[in-house]
Amino acid sequence: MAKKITSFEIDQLKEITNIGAGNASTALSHMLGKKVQMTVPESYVGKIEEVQRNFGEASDKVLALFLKMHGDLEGAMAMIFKPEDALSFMEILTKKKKKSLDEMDELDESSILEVGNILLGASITALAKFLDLNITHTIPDMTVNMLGAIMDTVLLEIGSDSEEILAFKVNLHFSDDNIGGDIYYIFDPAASGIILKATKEKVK
Amino acid sequence: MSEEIHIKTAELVVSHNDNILKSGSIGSCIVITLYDTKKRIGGMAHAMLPHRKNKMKNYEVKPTEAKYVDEAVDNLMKGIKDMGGDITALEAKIIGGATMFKKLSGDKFGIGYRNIEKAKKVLQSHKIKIEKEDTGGSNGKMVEFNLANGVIHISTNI
Repeated sequence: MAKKITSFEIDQLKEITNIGAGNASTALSHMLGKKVQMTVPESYVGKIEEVQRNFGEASDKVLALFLKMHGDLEGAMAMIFKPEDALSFMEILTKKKKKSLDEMDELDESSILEVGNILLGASITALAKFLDLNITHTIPDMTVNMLGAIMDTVLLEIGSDSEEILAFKVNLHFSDDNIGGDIYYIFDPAASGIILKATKEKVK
Repeated sequence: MSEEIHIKTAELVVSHNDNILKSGSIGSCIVITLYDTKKRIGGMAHAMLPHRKNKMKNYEVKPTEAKYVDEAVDNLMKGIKDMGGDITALEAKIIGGATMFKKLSGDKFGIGYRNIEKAKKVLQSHKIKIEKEDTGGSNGKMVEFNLANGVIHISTNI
């Protein structure tokens, strides 16, 4: 980063991701008719290897949905579920109980991808609307893999040019049974600059 | 007494005796190991990207730095040489460079693919033979390198 990002700016970006995640949680709540809680965003900012070290140790198996944002800014979003949470989601959606992620069939896969598409899409639409930016996104892709390995791939997809990264994590879960997942927003410094500038315009 | 040494992202360790070098879980990153089979001196590097983009003037690469494939191999060779190893008789193994999101990154030209290609090229330029490779695919891996016998153990949780 040519100019070091200040903690005030990080707080601003957290607030923006909060708006996005808030819309994702409303979408989830409407879709399934359950109360949804969300946490305050956590931020991971710095050189790509430093951010990766925060996740790199994690060898837990998880299910990840990943999509890229294009348009006025480039970025990515990911949604990470623990296997048991992913299975619960699929059970709610397909009304069929599976014992493990290895038993996932096409219907399970497309149902969880659709959840990702709706939640992450709602979140991005909210961001774009709030910031008056034009942001489109790809359809999500899915993998079942180790968290650390997924995060290095995700961070490198966005940060391989700038080598600096800003990642924000929000946890969404149902209030009654604690099933949920983590949403990650990932931006490079250029995208963060665009968001901060658009925020400034907005609050002027 | 053998010791387990954990290698962080973008770092490398060179060691000997019966020590075991361990990586974290790697996706499109790449783990490169070099081993002097006679003296049983070896090293493991966890690189993220093929090469440095903007070379700063007078920038000296730290001996523990392994963020870029080319510098990682240089540093591994230097470390092994400093420990008394024979860098003309090294065997290499490379692991990683996975592509997890095929729809988004494509099979070719993704970071994982570029890391693998770069590692092969750099090792070839140093005339180091790649003894084994477990690269590409769509799964993350963890690597353990036993310096007592040069055996690499690769595991995953999927």
